[in-house]
Amino acid sequence: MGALSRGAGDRLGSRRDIRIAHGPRPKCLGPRPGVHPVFRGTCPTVITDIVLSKDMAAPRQAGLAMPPFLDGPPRRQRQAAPLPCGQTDRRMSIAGKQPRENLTRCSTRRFFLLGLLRWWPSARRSDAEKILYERQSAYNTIVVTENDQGLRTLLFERDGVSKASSRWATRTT
Amino acid sequence: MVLGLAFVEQPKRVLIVGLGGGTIPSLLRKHYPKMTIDVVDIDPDVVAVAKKYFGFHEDDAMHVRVADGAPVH
Repeated sequence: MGALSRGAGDRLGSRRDIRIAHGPRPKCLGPRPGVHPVFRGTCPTVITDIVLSKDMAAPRQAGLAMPPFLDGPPRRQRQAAPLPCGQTDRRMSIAGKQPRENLTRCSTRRFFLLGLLRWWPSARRSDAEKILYERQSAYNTIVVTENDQGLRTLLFERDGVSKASSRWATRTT
Repeated sequence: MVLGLAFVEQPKRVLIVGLGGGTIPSLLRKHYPKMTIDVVDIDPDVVAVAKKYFGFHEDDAMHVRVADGAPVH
């Protein structure tokens, strides 16, 4: 066992528990330029595997104390970020297969967002404007609203498109 | 909406189908005092609302008829 192997064994723990397996020695074709003088003319030991004994591999089950290099806080597993709405697999595009759960969740979210977008303008209008006139005629529902600045608006349906606007405070002269 | 007036040197008479709040006829009356303006609207309630809430008023050269605009045209 070379110096490197002994150092590793001392660092890891008892040599009884650790067996260092040597792989097949590589063929050395002779000293090469750039190789450290220690290894010149010889082949360095190549560590291919470190085999732990049974008790070292699972010390908690065996009732033994954890070796210092294995003892420590358990590694946290990274939580995967939620999938984007409409995507069901990180490797798949939206056009791929879509399980029902994610589709349902996204549909619900879209439903509430669309409802909010639809409700928001009417809510703002009702806060800022008052309805002066509203009547169902033979052709339309005629609505006249006025905001706090005196701007009157004619609509042909509630929350519909404005047909005419007039600043009433300036037209009374 | 009033782009066609740019191609007429001295407009004398205009027909407006659909009164709404009466802002277009009032605008034309303001800029063309001598022009004859005929307005047609199918809904009498719209005419009443325009007069009551938007300050629209007829005069000698501006008349509103409650009728369907298609036969009038």
